[in-house]
Amino acid sequence: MMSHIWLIPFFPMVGFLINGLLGVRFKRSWIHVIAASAIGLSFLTTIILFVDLMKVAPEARHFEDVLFNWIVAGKFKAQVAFLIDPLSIVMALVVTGVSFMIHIYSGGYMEDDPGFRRFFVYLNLFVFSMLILILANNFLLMFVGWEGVGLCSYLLIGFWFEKDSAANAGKKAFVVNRIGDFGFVLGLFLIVATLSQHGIWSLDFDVVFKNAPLFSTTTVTAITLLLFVGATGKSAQIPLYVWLPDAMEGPTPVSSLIHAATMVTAGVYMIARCNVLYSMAPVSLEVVAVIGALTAFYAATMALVNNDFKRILAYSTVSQLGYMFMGVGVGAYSAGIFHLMTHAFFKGLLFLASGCVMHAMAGELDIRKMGGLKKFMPVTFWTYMMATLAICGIPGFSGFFSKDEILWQSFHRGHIVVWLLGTVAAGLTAFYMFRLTFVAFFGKPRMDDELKHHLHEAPKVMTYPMIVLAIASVVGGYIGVPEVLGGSNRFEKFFEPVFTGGAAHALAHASASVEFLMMGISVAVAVIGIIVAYLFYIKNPELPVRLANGMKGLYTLLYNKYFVDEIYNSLFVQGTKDFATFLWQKVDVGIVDAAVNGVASLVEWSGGMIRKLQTGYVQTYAFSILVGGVVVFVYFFWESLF
Amino acid sequence: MAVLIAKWVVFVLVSLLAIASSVLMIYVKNTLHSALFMVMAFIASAILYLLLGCQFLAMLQIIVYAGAVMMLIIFVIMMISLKDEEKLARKITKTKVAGVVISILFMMLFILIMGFNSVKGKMGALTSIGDAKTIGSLLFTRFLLPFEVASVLLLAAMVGAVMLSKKKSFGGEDQ
Amino acid sequence: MIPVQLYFVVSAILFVIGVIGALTRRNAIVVFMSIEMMLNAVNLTLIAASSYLHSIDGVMFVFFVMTVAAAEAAVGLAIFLMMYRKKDTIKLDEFNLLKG
Repeated sequence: MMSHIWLIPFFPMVGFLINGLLGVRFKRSWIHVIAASAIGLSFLTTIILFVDLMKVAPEARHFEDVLFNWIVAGKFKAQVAFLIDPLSIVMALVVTGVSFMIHIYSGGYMEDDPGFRRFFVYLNLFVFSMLILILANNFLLMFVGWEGVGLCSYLLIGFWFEKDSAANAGKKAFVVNRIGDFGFVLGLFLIVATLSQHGIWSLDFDVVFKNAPLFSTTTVTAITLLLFVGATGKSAQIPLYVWLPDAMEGPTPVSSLIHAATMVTAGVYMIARCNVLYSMAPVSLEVVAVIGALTAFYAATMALVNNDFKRILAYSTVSQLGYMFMGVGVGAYSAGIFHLMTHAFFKGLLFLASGCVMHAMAGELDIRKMGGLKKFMPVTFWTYMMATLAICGIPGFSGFFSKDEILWQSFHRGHIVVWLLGTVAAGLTAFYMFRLTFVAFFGKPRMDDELKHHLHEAPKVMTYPMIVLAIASVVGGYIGVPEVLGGSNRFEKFFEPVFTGGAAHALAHASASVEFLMMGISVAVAVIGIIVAYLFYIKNPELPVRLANGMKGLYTLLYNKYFVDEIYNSLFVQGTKDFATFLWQKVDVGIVDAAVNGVASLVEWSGGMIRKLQTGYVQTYAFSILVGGVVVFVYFFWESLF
Repeated sequence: MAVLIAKWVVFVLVSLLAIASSVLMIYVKNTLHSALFMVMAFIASAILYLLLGCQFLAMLQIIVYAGAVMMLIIFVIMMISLKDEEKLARKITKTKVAGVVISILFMMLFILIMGFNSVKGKMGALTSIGDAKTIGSLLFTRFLLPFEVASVLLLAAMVGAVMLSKKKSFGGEDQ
Repeated sequence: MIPVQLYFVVSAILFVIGVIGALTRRNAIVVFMSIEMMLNAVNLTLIAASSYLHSIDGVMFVFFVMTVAAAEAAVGLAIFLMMYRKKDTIKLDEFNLLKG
């Protein structure tokens, strides 16, 4: 079976091609079945591969499936080849599994949309690209997937392109991602440039990592930082996070799949994949950890005051991604991936729940106009609750294990500031998530009567995937129960063959009491957050208003997202636009167009001149024959003279 | 000697006659007069052919041009009312002036090249180029194929002329 | 013996008169006759050369030129008839369908 890794991305591609090329005449149900079963088959293949992989000894869990030579240029060679090892199989499981659920869900969510087929075509293409990204065995193929998911993200954010805001959000995501990708590509160039000096012309992970000692510390720091620039773009970290909140313009399943569960975690995956390089560059790791912690905290503060259901979740996603970067940044790669996985479950679920709410509320997203949804939508509420408890890190839910692991690791490895920021962010997370819960699902219904009458639970095709994900959100953490709680942390052990970089940081066993203390702190912080939210939004609903009035400045700052969009706008966007306008009006119109039009009018003018020769009178033509004859005679006369 | 002088006299006179009548041919307004001047020029040319010892072609020239072509032209003139054309004032345009100038330049060059250089070429062995016997035997031996082609060409021209000048078009559908 | 160059000069003059006629006259029949004149001038050149070189080739050439001229006369004059039927005139400046 290990020679059939290609089947994993193959099925989504087939689904994409069938629906894309032939789907015009298909019924909606067929399209849905084709798209979902393509992912389902892919998921099934991944499970089989996973089972096979588990049968192999841990050290030997590394399989490559070379399809064909892709680029052979001089000594440089890149193949289309897939790699299965613990890291990629976990990623593939998460991606195909969550995608499968969301594909099923989308059939209900997009039911009445005129772009039904287009949606599933893009979605399948996305999964295909994502799997290429994950399964690639070299940087170049990974980059293809990296760009492919960027493209799909753009297409899907701007899915309702007739809305200006959606089209602009798509553009913004695309442009911001390009900035990151630029860094990524520069990183790849640097790898090739450095390795080629040692006669190694390859971007295969194996080769690059094996030859990592050839890099000097400076080079490896530069490479890892450049790659991290790519990660900040794709995974929405400071300073390139700005596109993700706007990306909520896309259909909700897209937000769930691409902008919560899978694509945005590509940066974390990439760093985990390059752990060998990062471990050689402590400075880069420090940068990653600090950026992650700052993002976790900073995004959480923005989520505190937002009133848009999906945007709160978007900031939450940014914040949680910050946690993952914290994890990988402190060298706890498996903790980062662990959180990536649990986050995929509960954040995907949260978005699906928000989709159900939107569905019921006829597209309304302002939480102030909701309230009391609990009794109208029980399934949605309870699944949502599972995910909320998970994200808040309540013991027993998956988020607790993963987030706690990250916080513990960062403390344990001596990154106190990072730990502090993370812990505060955890409290903020609990607060804003429960604020969202209390405002939207509890209390009195605040929507108008017509809408209230319309409120309904989502159809089964939407709720069942949510139930599955809810179960995953609860139990997903138990594969990585830390040793101190009596588990064996199988998850971390599973990754050991991959994260050889992390092994260099192997630490003395920490005392169990400290670990318990840390756990207690984070749980306490989360509970405090929840209690504060309860006090604010259930007990004293007027309190937040007073608080907001009391701290006008801070509130305005948070509410306007620190004015970052405005700052970026005036700093970069406006300058670029002005420059572009200059190029357009002066250079293009004035010089390029003028030259082109000049040539055209020259041709027109000379054509008009020559046209006059074509009088239509036979005698004129005879005259030109005569002139020709004279020329011939002049030639002969000239000849006869000499 | 006397023969030579006579030849010179004839040559000069006949040449002048040919030139003069061709000038008149293109100059006079009346088309019928033009046709008559043309015939005169052709006859003068025929005499020049005779001077060159080419009796057969001289006869042919007179028969073909003065007889056949001339008759055709006169028939056409008769069938077409040329009043308009003949009443036209002579219009002197730049193109025409340029045409005349260039033509004269052309002539000058031709004379400069041909008139002041000796004629080079392989001398043939024939003593007489003009008698019908020589030409006839050549036509049926060396030049048989061109001769047959020429006959086909004449046939085609005949059919073409008939078709073109018929009142009705071939299918009889239009007109 | 009359030098052959003199014949050439005469035929050049005749030819150019034909050219001038063809270029300047607007009456199609006169233009046609001018063209015949040009053919005739060429014939004269050929015969003169033939006679000078004692070769029959020029004469044979003239023979065929005359054939072609006769055919041309037949077809050309028929075309004039057609033109006249179409436009009621054979003024050449009425015929400019080739105008670009």
